[in-house]
Amino acid sequence: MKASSKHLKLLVITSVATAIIPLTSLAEDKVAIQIQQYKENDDRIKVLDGKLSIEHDFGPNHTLSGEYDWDSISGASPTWDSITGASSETASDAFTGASACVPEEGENYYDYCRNTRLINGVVGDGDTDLDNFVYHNVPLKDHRDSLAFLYTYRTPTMRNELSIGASYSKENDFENTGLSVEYLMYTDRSKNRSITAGVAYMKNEVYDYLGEKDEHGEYSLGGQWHNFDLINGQVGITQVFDANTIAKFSAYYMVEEGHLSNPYFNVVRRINVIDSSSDEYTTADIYPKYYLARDSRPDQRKAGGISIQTAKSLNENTTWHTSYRFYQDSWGVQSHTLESKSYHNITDNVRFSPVLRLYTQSEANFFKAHDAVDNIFSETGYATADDRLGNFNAWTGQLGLEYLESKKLTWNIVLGYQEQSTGLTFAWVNFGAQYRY
Amino acid sequence: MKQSMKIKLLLVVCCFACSACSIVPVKSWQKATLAGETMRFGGPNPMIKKFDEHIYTSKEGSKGGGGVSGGGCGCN
Repeated sequence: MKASSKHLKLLVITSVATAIIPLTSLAEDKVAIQIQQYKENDDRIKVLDGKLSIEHDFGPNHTLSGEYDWDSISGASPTWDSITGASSETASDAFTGASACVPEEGENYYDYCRNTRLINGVVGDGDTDLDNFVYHNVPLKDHRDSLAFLYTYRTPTMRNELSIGASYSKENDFENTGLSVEYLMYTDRSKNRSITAGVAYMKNEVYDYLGEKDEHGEYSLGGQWHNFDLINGQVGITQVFDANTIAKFSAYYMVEEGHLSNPYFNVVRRINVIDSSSDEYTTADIYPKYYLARDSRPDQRKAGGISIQTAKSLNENTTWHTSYRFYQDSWGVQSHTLESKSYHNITDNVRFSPVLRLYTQSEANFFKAHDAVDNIFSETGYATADDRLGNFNAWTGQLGLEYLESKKLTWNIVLGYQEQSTGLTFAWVNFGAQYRY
Repeated sequence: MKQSMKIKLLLVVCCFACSACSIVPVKSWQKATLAGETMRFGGPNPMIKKFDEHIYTSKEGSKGGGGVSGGGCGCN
């Protein structure tokens, strides 16, 4: 009798505890630090990144979390350039003061050259020989600091959650301010199903090292800031399928508007110029000339897709997560992402977590790969040679190891590697600790 | 090659979806496993997931689907 009463009491406590804890996010006080070192092949980008986060409950209904992130980026990023290395030094021949739009080459040519400079974001003065352009690494260095806060309120009875987030991030050439609101609502008393709806707004400012063009088409020194905004909406359903399986189905939609061209990327445009001092020129006076030009993208990008995430406990020591995401945007990029991650308790204190991720993407409709047969853009139209908007596949592997030193303290190390069909490979190592208090 | 990869991906997704089709009502006291930290979609340590997402959005042409909170970067 006594034993069954104790059993009943335990059952009630367990039931209440598990009912109170929402399945999608467990509230607990914790502080965590994580450091990441990231490196790309071919002496490209290197990043040292650190995150410090704290999460604290104020009673059963309120949770506040804050995160500080700092990272240092160095190395180089590949882009089209003239063989003189103009963009690595000044990003533009125009900065050197050199002006090849000389009248000696013909009055019409001079006018055409000037006019050309006023359109298409042409930098430099062009060359008749394509061999004088090269796709190579241009050095860069940057530092980023960011802060993010998230406040969550839970309703006392149903434990529905309202989360409000704010974030700020600053780099030398980029500034981001974000706000987000998300609501999670349980649809049944057993909390086996919940609906999530959220919206976020981000205001971004990106620095362009070139200033405005003057009436001669020359870029002024000093640079300028451009804006672009992002609105992101997402709805999802989380469903418990059985005592060991849970899944989340989401649909998302986002709109980016403003200056979406990348100020660090160039393309090469081919322009037919007229080399004649008289108005009565013949076809012999027309010849192609190649110009270094700015990366040029539409001012709006609409994107959307769906994602599915599942988590299944295979046994008391193994949990398997899978996810799939479909993405499509108005630039013509379509992607599929499939990921598998599992957690294996090797001992009571050691947890192993391998990840395999497959990714495939189609190219934007204004992309030309630098190494393609047709890699030169025409006089007009949007243009980019940024491989991230190209057609490629990638696979990612990760190995994670956690050491649960106590119920409060956990150490972790993660090794990651990605290989893209573009030839880009990169590896990273994360290490950190999480302390529950 | 690319088309066949897409078909394979879709097949795998369909398998996942079908394997999770049956819904068994779960009572509160049966949720000890579901409440475990490794069952969370963000994992036991959400910061690791954030690092991963940061890398992927920096080096790939697509993003989204992982929630609405969080900041951005000018990742060149």
